[in-house]
Amino acid sequence: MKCEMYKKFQLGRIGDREYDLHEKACPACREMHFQDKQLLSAARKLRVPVNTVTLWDKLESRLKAELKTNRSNEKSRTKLKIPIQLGFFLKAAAFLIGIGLLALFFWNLSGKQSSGLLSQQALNKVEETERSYIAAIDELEKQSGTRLDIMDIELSFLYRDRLDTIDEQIQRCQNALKKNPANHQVRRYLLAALQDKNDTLREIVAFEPEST
Amino acid sequence: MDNQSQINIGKRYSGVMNEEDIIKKCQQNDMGAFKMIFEFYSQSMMRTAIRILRNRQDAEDVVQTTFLKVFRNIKRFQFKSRFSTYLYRILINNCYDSLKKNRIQTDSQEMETLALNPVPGQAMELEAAIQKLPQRMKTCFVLFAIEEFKQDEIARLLNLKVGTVKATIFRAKQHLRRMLSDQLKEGQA
Repeated sequence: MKCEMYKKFQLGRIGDREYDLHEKACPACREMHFQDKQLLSAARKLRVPVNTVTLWDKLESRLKAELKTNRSNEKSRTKLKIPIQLGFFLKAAAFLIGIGLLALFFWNLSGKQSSGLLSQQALNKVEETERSYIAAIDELEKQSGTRLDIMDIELSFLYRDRLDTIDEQIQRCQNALKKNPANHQVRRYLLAALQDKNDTLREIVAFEPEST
Repeated sequence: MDNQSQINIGKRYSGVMNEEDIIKKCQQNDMGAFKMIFEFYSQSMMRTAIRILRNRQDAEDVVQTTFLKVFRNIKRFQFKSRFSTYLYRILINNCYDSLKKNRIQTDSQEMETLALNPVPGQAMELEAAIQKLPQRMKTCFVLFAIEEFKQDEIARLLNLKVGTVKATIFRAKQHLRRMLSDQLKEGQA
């Protein structure tokens, strides 16, 4: 049976001094230690230079373009003079209106004998609610990208899978609605999927990593 | 990444500035500071990405995306962790994302020769052996043995326990010792 002392030393279970004493008397551990030293020294030679000049050129032009866009956005924001708090209240108001419209829509539906199709007026309201959801989702998606990058890989994959599944559901509903835009069942599924995506993105945005 | 990076980055470019000063300049959108950060980290990041993705073009895309994400959000960096940990964490996540997207393609791919500069004979065999390691083992070994990250730093950037990283690196060395036993014995003799 092979000696386990070198493994224990590598995993930090025994100290340097204890291991040094052992190694003097154990040729197997001595050999493994020597081979590891050889491996690491060969590995250092793999630290070869890579040409990244063209990469910087591409990156620089993209960064400059982004900085320029950001500056012009900031200028237009200053011109409008909308305080940040007001922006937040506007978003919150849009969200509440969306919820209100949705509640009204379902309340109306439950009070009537459904024909399976929405009236033009109801359809307009639902489409408006969908638009408000989509706007909120766009805003949240911009914020969620970085959060996904800094979170635990497994967790990030779970969120990405969940978002992919919801996107598929949204896509299926949208395809079905192309043929029959007033179908209230499909509209209901679509609204549920949009709400689900909105909630998931909010969770991601609220994520606080430990180490960054 | 070695302990000296915070000092080296300053010495190399200005003689006065340390990494924190350079990042603060980046937070004010200073293009020169962005370039300093890029020049200091890009080579190591490219090597790591090429080894994980086995493809230079994908690696370039991933490194570029990583820098863009980092520079876009650098104002939010609060110096609570080391910058290199933050940067590499995003890099590794992006690499894994890219692997996930190209999974079918990568699985069917033949072992691709690394698009790095040629290395001497024994090192080339080691390079091929590293490519045969399982993904997480390979990432840990590359960061530790080639890019000289400390084990606790690897643990932080891969979100693993230090013990897990130590065991993974030990297993990686064990696999490599077996794969390269002939060459290592020659060296011993």
